[in-house]
Amino acid sequence: MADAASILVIDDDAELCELLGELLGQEGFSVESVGDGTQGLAQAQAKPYGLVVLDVMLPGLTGFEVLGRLRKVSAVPVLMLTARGEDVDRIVGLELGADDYLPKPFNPRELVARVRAIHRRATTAPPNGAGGDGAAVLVVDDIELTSASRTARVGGREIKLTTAEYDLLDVFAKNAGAVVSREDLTRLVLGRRLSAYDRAIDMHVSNLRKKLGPSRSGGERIKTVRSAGYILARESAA
Amino acid sequence: MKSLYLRILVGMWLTMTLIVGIFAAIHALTFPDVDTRRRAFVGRSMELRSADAIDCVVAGSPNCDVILKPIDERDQRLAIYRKGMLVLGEPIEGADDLVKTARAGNGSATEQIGATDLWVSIKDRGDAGEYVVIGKQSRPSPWLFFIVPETLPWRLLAIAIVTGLVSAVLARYLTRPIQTLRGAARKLAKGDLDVRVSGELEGADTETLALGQEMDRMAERIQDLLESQRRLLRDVSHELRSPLARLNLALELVRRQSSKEATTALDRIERETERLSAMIGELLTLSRLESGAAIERPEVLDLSELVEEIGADAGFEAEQKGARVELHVEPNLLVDGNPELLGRAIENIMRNALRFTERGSTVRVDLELRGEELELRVRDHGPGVPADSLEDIFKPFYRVADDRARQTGGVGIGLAITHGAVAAHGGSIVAKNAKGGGLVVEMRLPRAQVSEERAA
Repeated sequence: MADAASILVIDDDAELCELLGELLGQEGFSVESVGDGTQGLAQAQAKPYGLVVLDVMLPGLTGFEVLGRLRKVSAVPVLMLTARGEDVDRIVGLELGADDYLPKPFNPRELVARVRAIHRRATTAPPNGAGGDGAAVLVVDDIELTSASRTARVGGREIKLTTAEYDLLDVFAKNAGAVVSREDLTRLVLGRRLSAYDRAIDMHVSNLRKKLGPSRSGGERIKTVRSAGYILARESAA
Repeated sequence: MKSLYLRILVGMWLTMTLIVGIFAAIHALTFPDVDTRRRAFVGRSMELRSADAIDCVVAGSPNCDVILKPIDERDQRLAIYRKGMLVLGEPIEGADDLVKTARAGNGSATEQIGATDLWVSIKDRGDAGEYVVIGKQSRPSPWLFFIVPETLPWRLLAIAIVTGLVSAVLARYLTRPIQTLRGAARKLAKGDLDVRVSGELEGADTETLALGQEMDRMAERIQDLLESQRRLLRDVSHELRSPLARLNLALELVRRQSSKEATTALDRIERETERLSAMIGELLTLSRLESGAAIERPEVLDLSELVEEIGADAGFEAEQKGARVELHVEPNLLVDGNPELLGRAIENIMRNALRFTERGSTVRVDLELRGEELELRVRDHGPGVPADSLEDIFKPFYRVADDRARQTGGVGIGLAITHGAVAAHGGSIVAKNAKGGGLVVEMRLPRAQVSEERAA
């Protein structure tokens, strides 16, 4: 089991890492830092961290490369630090499986809030206070969610989901057949308010769709409802 | 006559026409006694014809009239009298005095009456009697040998047409490389620095080709300069991010240790660093847009929805100022593009309008389809912009005099980003002063090329 309070910061700015360590340390997290992409990737796999804070611009491997390789072996939550003004970075990062992003230079309080949101989700399973039935299995059509182990199965086959994707699917499953707004999804899954041009939730939905594959009848499982939100369609009566 | 084409055309034309005129003048100068010669020529001709005619009459042959019949109407007319009676030809009046003169002299006489020459000759044929021949000829133009008057208009026309055509072709041929240069210069002025013209000037004259090559060199140099300027701006902004990030963190750490008295000052510092961060972000966005890179990850999006959304937010902001935002949006207008960039573009226009509109006034937003373009108009009721600055407001950090933006926290590159974003989407944007005060910003974007089903 991962040590939820341990954070790995991968950023080549040593002074920044030091300051981050001090700040997050005051919040009760233990912070380790690596200034190089290749080493960072190795370090992220060497120990079970609760969160990886990953800068996009790194010597050695770029942040995207680190993320892409890390995602093949690990579902550890990743917070990307993207460059302000490079809007595409955020989308690429989310597409590669980052849980959330923060444009750099960031507001430290915002960073702490995001780190805490991710930490809270990881430590309070099942998320969103679904009740005490910890071993409960949530079933919607051929999707099964086991909250205790945070695993998801589609048609009996386990699919690998990142933390954010699991939480997203969890919210959808609990509200199957009903429209969930983007605002609610952002709040419930990412633990923050939806801001203008924030496409994070849409990217997570898109990634989740790919992993779930088409429904038994061949359609998209999660449908977009224009200017309202998303809906997980039920095929059979529950 | 400012056009080189016209100058060459008219010049050539005049030249050729003048040459014709000069030929005529030379002709006139070379044969100044043309009249005397002609008269001698005509006299000789009359002499011979009348002799033939009299011979015919004396011999009593039929059809002697044929000999005197004029070949054409300009030809000399002859009448032959015997003892005051007309023998051949048609009567010619008014020659009685001349006949007397002839009798008194050597038997022939000529006289000019106006434009007509009269000629009398007395022929004594012994037994056959005495014949009086009277000839008459209207004097032809002295140009007779040079110009046949009947065909003159046709010939002049032919000269005009031929010289005109030749001049036109020549003028076009000479000015075409200049047209090419002009087209390239115009593209250059529009910001297309990839234009190179010498390849298109193949076959042009040496001078023009050299000019074209110089222009290419100039374009290259400008391109280099702009590129390095952009790179500098970009690198500087880029490099400023790291110290800013550290500054933010350090500030937060200080805040946690500091007393309450310091809060106000720390808040202030934080606000300023936020502003710096925002400015750097926008500068980087702008430099990316200006580098002319294509829009990354475009999608079909509903501009109507986007405008409604942003308009609603702007309406909320407007309330705090006591102003209103009025939306007139045609629904379901689709555009290909990046939603964030377009969203920020529209937001910046509305923000700008709200910033300047009078308290209690209305900002009107119109979105409609115009042909194949979507047109967004945002009109405020503010002071407007001096006419000569209307284009400048889309430049980074441009400020109209006594702008209040500085106090209201504007970064100063919002509209520049809007301009860049719109251009990157293949659209255009202009600002105009509205009738009755206030500014109208008009933005046009090409409509998305998709079927309705895909959009649904």
